[in-house]
Amino acid sequence: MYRLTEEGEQYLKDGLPEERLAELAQARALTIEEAAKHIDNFSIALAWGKKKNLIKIEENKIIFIKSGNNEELKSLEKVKNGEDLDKASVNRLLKRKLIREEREDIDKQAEKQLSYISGKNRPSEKDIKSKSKIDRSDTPITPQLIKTGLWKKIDLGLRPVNIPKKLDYVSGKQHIITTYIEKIRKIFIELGFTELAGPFVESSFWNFDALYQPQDHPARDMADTFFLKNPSVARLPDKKIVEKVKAMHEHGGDVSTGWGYSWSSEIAKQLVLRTHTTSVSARQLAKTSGPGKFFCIGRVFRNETIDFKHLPEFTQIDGIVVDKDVGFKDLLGYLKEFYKRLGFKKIRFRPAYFPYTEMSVEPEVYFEEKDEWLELGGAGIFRPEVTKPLGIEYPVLAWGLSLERPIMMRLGLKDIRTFYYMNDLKFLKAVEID
Amino acid sequence: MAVIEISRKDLETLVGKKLGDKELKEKIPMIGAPLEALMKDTVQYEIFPNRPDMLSVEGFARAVKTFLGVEKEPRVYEASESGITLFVEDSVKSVRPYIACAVIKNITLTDDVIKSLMQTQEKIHQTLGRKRKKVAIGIHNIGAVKQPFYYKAVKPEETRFIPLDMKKELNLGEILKEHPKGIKYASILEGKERYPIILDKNGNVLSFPPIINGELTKVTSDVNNLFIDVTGTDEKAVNIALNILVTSLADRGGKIESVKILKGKKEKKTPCLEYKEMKLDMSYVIKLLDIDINEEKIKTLLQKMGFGYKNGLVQVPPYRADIMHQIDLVEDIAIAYGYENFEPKIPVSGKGKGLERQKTIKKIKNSMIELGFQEVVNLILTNEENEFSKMGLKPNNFVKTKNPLTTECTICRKKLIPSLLNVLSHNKHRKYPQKIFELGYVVATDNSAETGTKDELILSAAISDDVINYGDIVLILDELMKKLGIGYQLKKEKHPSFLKERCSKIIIRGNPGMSGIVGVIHPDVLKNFSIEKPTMAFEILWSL
Repeated sequence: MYRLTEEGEQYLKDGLPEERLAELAQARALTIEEAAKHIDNFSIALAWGKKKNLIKIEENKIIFIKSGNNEELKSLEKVKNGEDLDKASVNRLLKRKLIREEREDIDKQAEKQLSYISGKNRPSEKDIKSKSKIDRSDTPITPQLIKTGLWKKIDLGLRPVNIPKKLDYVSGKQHIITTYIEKIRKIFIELGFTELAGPFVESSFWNFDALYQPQDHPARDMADTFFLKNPSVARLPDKKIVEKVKAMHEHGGDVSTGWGYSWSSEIAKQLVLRTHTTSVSARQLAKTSGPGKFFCIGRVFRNETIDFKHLPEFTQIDGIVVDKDVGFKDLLGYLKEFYKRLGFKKIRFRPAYFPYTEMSVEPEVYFEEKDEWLELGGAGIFRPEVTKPLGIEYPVLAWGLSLERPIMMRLGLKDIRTFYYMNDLKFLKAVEID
Repeated sequence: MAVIEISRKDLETLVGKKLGDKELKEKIPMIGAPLEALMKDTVQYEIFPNRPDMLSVEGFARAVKTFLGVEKEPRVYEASESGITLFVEDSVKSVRPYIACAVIKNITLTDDVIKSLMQTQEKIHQTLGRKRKKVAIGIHNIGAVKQPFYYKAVKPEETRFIPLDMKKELNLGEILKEHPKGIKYASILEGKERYPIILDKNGNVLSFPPIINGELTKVTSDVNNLFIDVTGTDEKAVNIALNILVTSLADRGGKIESVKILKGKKEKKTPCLEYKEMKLDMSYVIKLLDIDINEEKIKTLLQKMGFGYKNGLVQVPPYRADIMHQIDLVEDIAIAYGYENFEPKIPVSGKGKGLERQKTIKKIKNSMIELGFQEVVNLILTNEENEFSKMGLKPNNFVKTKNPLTTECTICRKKLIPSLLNVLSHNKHRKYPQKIFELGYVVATDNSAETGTKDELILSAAISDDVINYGDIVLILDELMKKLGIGYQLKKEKHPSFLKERCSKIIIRGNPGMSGIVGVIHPDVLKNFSIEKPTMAFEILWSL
């Protein structure tokens, strides 16, 4: 698509300057000075007149040789009218800057594409083969179509598609979270653990009550936990278990003082988004009488606003070991071995508090690069108040560890949103973790 | 999470030992109180919810004193009788049934003591007291009032007094509306016809629990004799709170005296500072901790944690709230022994088992990666706008949260394509073509399930580029199905999120639990996600 330049427009109106000069000289020979007064763009007229051999200069006089053939004017006319023009003529006009290539505006391109799509201006098979971009019998949907709203007209012209036969691609990549989860799964499986899964939406009973968290415990506050509006209540499990849990909360069954309050089954029915995967462990304990080793890696939820430090979802690694002969040192041993296999050489244990474990510990691993100890979650031995009502007579070692924290530390990431929220494709492509 | 601040000098005085940075930073936290901040003059520790007795500076120092071995045996507290009586009327039963009181004589209220007392009161209110709902404390100048005292519930307009830090007399209803504390804690009394009140012999108001004390009994630094009331809805917590306060003040040199509480014909004395006895099974300790230990050593370790030990019985101090089962004693023995002194027992390898579905998951992911797609991982939480409106869909039947803190997370996603479109919309500055996939979970409602919901696994992939061809994504889908050996069939489909004639239903042969959709994303949808490049996607629900 071409358009006349300002100069082109002027010539189309007034004629080409070299032809006008030749005309003038044909009437009478005249000096350069005289001619310059009559002809605009005189230097152009002189240069092109001589070049086209229309005139010559002798002793400061302009001598006529022949008339111009108006060819360029005709070409300009055609461009102006949008008619087709041969390549040589186009080039000549382009060279003289009488026309310029018009970069089609988005609308026009889209319009053109549209006519192509609807078949009006559909290129021949030959055309299609010669142009790689549209080497399909399909309809390309382009940014222009979306931006201009012209896609609306596509409906009219869309035709069924022939599926191409071949596909070429380069390999994609796994998300770092997947890589790390795979690694952790492997460690636990090699340590003899069976993998578990459980529901994201959980009853307060399994998320809190079965874990001996009193119903007025601050962790159950609206502020930390997502409660559900739809659906809002769960069915409670087997009555026998519910009664035992209730008794434990109210007066400690026959082993503990209990919390000493009146336990409500209505509160236990309230649905929440699980705040830890320990709910999955609790469900498993109700199913088994032990011994056994189980782990679960899954998404958990906390009612937080989103910023660089907080996301309402993260991944927890839960594990339990049910065995007659295990004790505190075994708990520390499992944690130490797990982190060693994950690549952390130094680990230490701090006293901690969780309503459902006693002893409670916080494992911390040492990051040499930063000379820093990092807390990675919680662990402990389930209280008898937890295990008894679920029918377990053995000690149960348990832990709930963070998945994201060690990855962030390893990669030096400051912003937790990097994981689930932003999915920066450049970062994901570049990042490696072992 | 409760954090207390202590003046280093005050702590040293109370403990009776100079405390260097090393002790403050490394030794003391091993009692189960992580160091929050260490400053020139002050130090901050986090106190776990099971140790409200350490919320007071004095209680904290008391625990440190035996833990560091400055004192071998913990102090035992006693109360003499004050001769003061408080009558409890039946009317409080439905409002705030429990009360415990004490008198402290001869206390010198230095700046350190006042600061610590205020902090203790505030921290107990927040934690053990569940923001005053369960427990509230009032401390009074006993010299300003005459015994006996009365605890009763009255109509809001019935009683007027000048509340603390105010000049004018207000009735109880007005206090809830006008006094800052009244406004803050009014919700605790919501719906109650009568409000609790503590009066003296002459009808002067000591306190309007759990809201505010009277100006009359205001405590200033020149007061030496205190009356303490603790009211609440949980008798055990009320008594513990009182015991924490009186033992703390006794550590500051005050003398504890008891108050006679008369409820009809029932009479009791508070505070009750008797030690509770608990049996400790030696074999239980040894089995769980696996350390070489005898009774004498256990006694030493228990004393280090503030317990007494007599005739095979553990004496539990009256300010300890956390001893419910002998396992709690075992933990304290372990802490006294030092977590760092336990040699971890390394487990042996075994042969475990992954979830059956993991094999399929891995196979699907690997196939998508081979096909050139970058895996992305998104939140399960989203909102109605992203999930429905932007997709040109009407909201229907979804899992909705009740109390979200952010408008971004109000529902659980049902589909994955909106998540992928969000990713594309965040990556407009990145290189194209963009080919992404997610194999992730969604939550759907399910009336027949125990939790009213079911988790579903969905695979979704999207391609975004300058020019896209529907055929390409159909081809990807075809390759994937071939790799996974799944027979399928496409059937033309109309769907508001996709362009007409560029959308098909994916029907999986022999598996009605699986289904899917593939198509060119409708330009309106792209606009809603402010994606400028044409995009196409597919989504397949996987049956687990």
